[in-house]
Parts: sequence; C-alpha cells; structure tokens
Amino acid sequence: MRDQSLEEIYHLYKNRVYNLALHYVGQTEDAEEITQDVFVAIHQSIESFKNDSTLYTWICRITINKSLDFIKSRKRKKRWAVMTSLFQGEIQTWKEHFLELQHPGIEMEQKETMNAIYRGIHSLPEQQKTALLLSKIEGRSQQEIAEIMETTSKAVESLIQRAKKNLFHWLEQNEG
Amino acid sequence: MKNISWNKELANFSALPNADAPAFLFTRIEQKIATRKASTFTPAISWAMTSALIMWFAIQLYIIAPKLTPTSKANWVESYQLLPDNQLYP
Repeated sequence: MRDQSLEEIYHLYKNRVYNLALHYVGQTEDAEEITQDVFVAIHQSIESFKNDSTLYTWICRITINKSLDFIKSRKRKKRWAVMTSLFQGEIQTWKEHFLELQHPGIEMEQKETMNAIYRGIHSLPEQQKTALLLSKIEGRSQQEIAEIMETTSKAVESLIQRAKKNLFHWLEQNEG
Repeated sequence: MKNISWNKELANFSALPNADAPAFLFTRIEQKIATRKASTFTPAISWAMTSALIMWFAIQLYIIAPKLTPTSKANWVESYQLLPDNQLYP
C-alpha cells in the first residue's frame, strides 16, 4: 500500500472521506477542509501504517477523528461567540447555520426532515453517532464498524440500538 | 413535524446519494503538504535548539548560583543603603 501514491489513494477514497466528513459536520466547506486534512495526515503517516487493518479502515479512523476534533473546535468557538457577542440575533444565526446539512442530494421537500434527522444525530454522544453514521450512511457491517472503532461487534450492535433509540426520542421531543 | 415516521425518514437519510468531492481538492492538498514541508522544523533543528536552550539555562545557573549566598544578600542590602532597623530617621 505504501507503493500507492497519494494521488491514487486520493482518487480511490476521496468521495467516501468527503461524505463521511459531510455527515459529521454538515457544511460542504468544512467537509472539504476535513478531507484535505485527512489526506495530508495520510501523507504524513503512511510510512507508519502497519497493515494491521485495511487501508480503508485506517483512513476511516483518521476521518472520524478529524471530524470529531473539528466539531469540538466548533463548539469551543460557539462558546466564545456566546460570551463575546452582544447581539442575540448573531448568535442564533450562527447556531442555526451549523445545524443544517448542506447535502447536494437533498431535495427541497425533504430538507426540513433531513435537517431534523441531522440535528438528532448531531445530538448523540460521539460513539453512538459514529456507529450510526457508519452503519446507516456508509452501509458498513457491524464487524467492519467494530474494526474501525476498535471494539467488538456486540458493542457496536449495542451502540447502534442505543443511538436509534436516543435519536427517535430526541426527534419526538424536539421536532414534534 | 407531526405524524412523521422517523424510521422511514432515517431510511431516506441513509439512502441519500453520495456527494462528489470537489474536483480541485487534490490541488489544495498538495499545496498544504508543500506549505507544511517548507515551514516545519526538522527533528535535527528542534533537537539542536532544545539542547542550546538547556545549555544556556545550565550556564546561567552555574554563574548565578554561587552568588546566592547569605553574604551576597547582606551586600545587596548594603548596596541599596537600606537601614537594618525599623527607624525611619536616624
């Protein structure tokens, strides 16, 4: 795999990385930023890749970590904006912007419900969010998800069940 | 949004077609890699700087430490012409 150039790896996995990042962060610009960071990280770390998992599993882990780090960074910026902003309107606009899913495949009539689902997934704890996204969006099997998350199939099954339960509960409470 | 089957909506969410990554992304990735290479300190430089800093601190301590004696403290007091008692006026 080290013989594959970065460009080859990029063309093989770019859409999967981009889509996974997009489902984490919701905004196309942010997903582009994360995708760039993922491939820069791959370039820096490819020599240390030990072949103890598939290349895709490894790339997936980097994408998930970069996406979660980005979300944490965004939350810190939001807290700072709340503290420093004097105008309630600005904060609200900022908050709403980042809780929408900018996906090109969403049709107008679906937008409201898809954003509701996205906000619900966004409210889940990190592990449940990751398991659900890998299962529903990536279509990975539980075994593959367990390998990516470095846990067991049973744990993944439990995470997905809890994620769905919490998601539907959140949607009932918040979206009617 | 009442009367919505969230299960069905979640299935629709899962069925969203994959978005294509923008065409120009690889160019930006290459630029980022080039920028990082140009600005990153090599390990050798980092070690050299760290060692130099540690040596500088060590030399400073070597020079200063012998001067921190009770005698030197008394000299310091004398040099500022501070009164040894609490009398403001002699």
